Amino acid sequence: MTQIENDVRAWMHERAARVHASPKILEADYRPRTHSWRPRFAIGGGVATIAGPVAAILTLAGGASSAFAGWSAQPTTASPAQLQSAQSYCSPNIPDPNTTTQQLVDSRGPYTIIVYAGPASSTQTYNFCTVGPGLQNASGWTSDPPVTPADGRLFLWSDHTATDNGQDYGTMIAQAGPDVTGANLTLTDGTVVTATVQNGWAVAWWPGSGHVASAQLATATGTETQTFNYPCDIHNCGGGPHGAAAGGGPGGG
Amino acid sequence: MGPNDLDRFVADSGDILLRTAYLMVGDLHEAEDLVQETLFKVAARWPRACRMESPVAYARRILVNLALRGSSKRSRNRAELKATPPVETAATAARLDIHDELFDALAALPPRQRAVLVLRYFLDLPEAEVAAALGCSLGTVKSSTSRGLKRLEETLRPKNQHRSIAL
Repeated sequence: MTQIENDVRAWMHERAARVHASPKILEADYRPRTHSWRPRFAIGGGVATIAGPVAAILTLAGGASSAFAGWSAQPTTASPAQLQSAQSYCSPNIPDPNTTTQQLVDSRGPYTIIVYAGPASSTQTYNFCTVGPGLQNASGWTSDPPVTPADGRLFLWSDHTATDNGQDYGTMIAQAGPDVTGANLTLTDGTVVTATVQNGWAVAWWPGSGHVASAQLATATGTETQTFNYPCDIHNCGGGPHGAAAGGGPGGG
Repeated sequence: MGPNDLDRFVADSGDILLRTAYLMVGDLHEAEDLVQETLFKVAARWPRACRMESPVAYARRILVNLALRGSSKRSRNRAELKATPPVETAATAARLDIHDELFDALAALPPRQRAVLVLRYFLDLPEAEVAAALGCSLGTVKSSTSRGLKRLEETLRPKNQHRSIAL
């Protein structure tokens, strides 16, 4: 090592030793916040309350909620560019890019939501990503054991409202029974929103403070109606994590 | 580390990240902001980061990228703020009392050269790890190290010679 290398090393260590992480750094709460990100969480044993933490997954940043411009009650078709833009953000930012695959894309105007899921085993990993004007958000959660909703039922991971820039919005993230091909949600304020249903998932969001009061579910054999009592927990959001969901629990059906 | 060890990670890595940031940007307040931004990003990906062999290396890569990405903006801000003396408490003034010739010489280096020197000589990282942290080739690390050291020597030598004469 040369003299200058020795000098630089000694100087750096001596100077750096005078600097210590302050409470500003050490005492800050770096955990996910409403406006940026959310941590993974796990549900197990059929006793966890899911309405709060799960519902907090989807949040809309300020720019998105200022007018919800372009939002529609019916899902729209994302252009290839919109989808590519969303995927280019989501793929490297979701917590489990290597173990989950895309399950659902919900587009409403310029907003795109993508749901990812890992293979079902003793636990299952889910990732969730939202991209829109002023909005980029990726998060994930796990279920232990995985949820398998019954035919003609939804299992609500999230029925949540939040306020951003003075404007309320709500979201629903649900797993759908294997025979569910469509879902029209009637909110507590009377608004009807059509969810995107793909690959056993159903997702929708809406401006306002309404919650999901009921869902008209299209199945191969007809239409099923499922009702929900907000706030729901693991028992009345459509069934427990084992997915028996017979009758949808106290709040379902 | 596990999913519940984020607080421990922050406590364990706070000092080293701050010191690295400080040597890279030359300003304690900016360094603190950089570290906080880094830790927010790490926390957002903590379920994945905690399973890594070295979460602190992951944090370091984020920190370095943030520092390099914001270097031009910081330069502009610095220029704009020159007319306004910084307000410092006695405590921060003591903590910031580190301006000397080598500090100024290091600050005068291009950001990437400075980053290479900090990673090599403060963190004592092998050249290969420096290259990985900066996302550049081993050759770039070697040449940046050589040029950076040479510039430091050139900057310091005349002053030291002058000082010797003065003494």
